[in-house]
Amino acid sequence: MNKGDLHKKDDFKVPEKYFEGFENRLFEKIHDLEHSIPKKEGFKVPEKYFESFEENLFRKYNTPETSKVIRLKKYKSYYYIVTGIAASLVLFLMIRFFTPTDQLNFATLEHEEIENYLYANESSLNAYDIVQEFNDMELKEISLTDEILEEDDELIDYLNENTNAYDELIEDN
Amino acid sequence: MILEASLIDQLKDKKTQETAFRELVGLYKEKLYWHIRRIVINHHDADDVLQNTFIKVFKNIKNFKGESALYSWMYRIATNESISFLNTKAKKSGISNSELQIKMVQSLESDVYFEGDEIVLKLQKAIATLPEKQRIVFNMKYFEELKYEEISEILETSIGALKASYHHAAKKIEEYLKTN
Repeated sequence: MNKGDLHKKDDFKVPEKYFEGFENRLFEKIHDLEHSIPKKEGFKVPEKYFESFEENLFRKYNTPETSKVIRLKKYKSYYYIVTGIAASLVLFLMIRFFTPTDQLNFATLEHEEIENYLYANESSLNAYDIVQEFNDMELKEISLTDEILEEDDELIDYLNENTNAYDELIEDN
Repeated sequence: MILEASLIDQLKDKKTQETAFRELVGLYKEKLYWHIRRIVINHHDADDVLQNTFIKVFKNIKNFKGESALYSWMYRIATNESISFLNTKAKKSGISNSELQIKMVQSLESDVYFEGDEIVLKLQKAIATLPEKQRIVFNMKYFEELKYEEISEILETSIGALKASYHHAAKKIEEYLKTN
């Protein structure tokens, strides 16, 4: 690259001999900085510290660590307090969020809610439980949702596809 | 480099590791001590951290993969141990790390292992006002006279970022010394 290409003509100027004296000025500044901040730190070490360091290190390394004994009793009361606070908090939240504002009874429940409940918990209910639950309800009032009917259809389809005549005979008997 | 490679091999070999470890400690104890001392300030704390650093080096040498120089790896362990030590100390005292720095420098006045005059004490106070990273970079560059390339490998930080940290730190210290 031609040296002349470094500086294409524009309107900027630098003071005379600016670049010739640049290094000196820079080093002066660095020198000033080094002198404005002291190089001494003032730290010292005990006498013969480094000479005896290895011995101390190996003594420490070879000493088996004694496991700390945690005194349970000291923490017992602390755990009781924490558990007590946590239990109170849970109880408060349960009362706050699970206590209904209006008195609820069985009659106020929507049929669909009951159905959904039974659907979700059917494995834990037997026929007797269901009769008990629907004791004061007319059968005609109970309507099955489409979802359950759909599942019934699926069940019938499944049985049609997966049972053979022999099975049916047994079932019939 | 060949010497370092051979030392690493000896450190990994059960038969030669104790002799090699003694050699390693002899080579680096002073350099690492001063590196740690500048971070934790107090001699007894520096001694504890230095011993823990070497114990960590000894226990982990089998995992050393040689991706960096051995001394950078040891400096890195020493730096991390020092920072962890200060964090724990601050936590135990229930104060922030910057409050701890001020407290540590204040205690220098009555420290038997400190013999600095007024200006040196003022310098330590100025360094204590710096953020942790700037403080470490300033010490490594100004007092330990490490090259930016070496600091970069130890702290795993770019040279550009280190130069900026050092520049900011030096300016702040100059300013502190002028105004206090």
